[in-house]
Amino acid sequence: MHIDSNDVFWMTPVEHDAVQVEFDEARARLKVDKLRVFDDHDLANSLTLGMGLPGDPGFPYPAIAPKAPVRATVSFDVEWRGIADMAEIHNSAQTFKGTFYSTGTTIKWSAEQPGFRFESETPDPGRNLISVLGREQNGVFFT
Amino acid sequence: MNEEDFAWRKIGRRWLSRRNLICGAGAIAGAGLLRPRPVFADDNEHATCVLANPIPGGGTPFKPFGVVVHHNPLNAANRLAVANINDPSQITDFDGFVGLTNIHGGGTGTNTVTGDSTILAFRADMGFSQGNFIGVDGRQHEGTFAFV
Repeated sequence: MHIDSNDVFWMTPVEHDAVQVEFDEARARLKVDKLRVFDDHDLANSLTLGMGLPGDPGFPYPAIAPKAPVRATVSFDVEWRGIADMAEIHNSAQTFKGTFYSTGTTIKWSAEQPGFRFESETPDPGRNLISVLGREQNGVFFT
Repeated sequence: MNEEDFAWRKIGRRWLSRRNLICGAGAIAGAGLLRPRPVFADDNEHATCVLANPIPGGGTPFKPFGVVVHHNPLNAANRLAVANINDPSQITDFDGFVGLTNIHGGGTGTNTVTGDSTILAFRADMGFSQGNFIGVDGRQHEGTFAFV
């Protein structure tokens, strides 16, 4: 995914019903089919806009060859459910507040581009590292 | 600003121009996806996307190379201490629902030319935002976004 021209990170508009939230049950689902994206190959090329990393002495990064983005489509079905923790947050330093759940999550996704296809394994709740579902206000909505 | 910074900023401007074109193309595909207002200021193909604004924080993982990442990755250490998270939204001036996940797993990659397949691992940082936001036009919009 590309960063948009206003520097919003990896966000793309989708149909309203691609997201379903039952917040009081700490449940949500994000389901998108065949979203057109750019495959930037790796994180370094994504963040350097395809320039790679030079690997020059003095920088703590390995050399990563430049890679041009490739058009691809991705489909994904992500489900948040099950409460591991909950908190009311009022963070003046970052100007955000709201109610947040730490939840379980499963994901099923696939990707396709010329010459390659990927299909993820059966959704497994044990694969979750950390997931959060929140109802929040930030920026001008933070008071 | 040193010469290297300047060179990268110039590259960034060149790519920004290209990304603006991508934005326009994407907006055509996405016309009408934001409710209740369309994503365009008007309906002509040269119209500017009504973009959201990024959160002010973030970092530059490959500093001095690369762009600023306006995103706060979740830390698995906070799984049972969600009060310690940073703002999980990528959009500022936002009022709504946000979901974020850091998840890993496996799957099968297939060379669609040869039919050869192999087991691959993945790690995904994904989510969504759904609600009201103030766009770059200073007006309030309702939208749904996937974080991919």
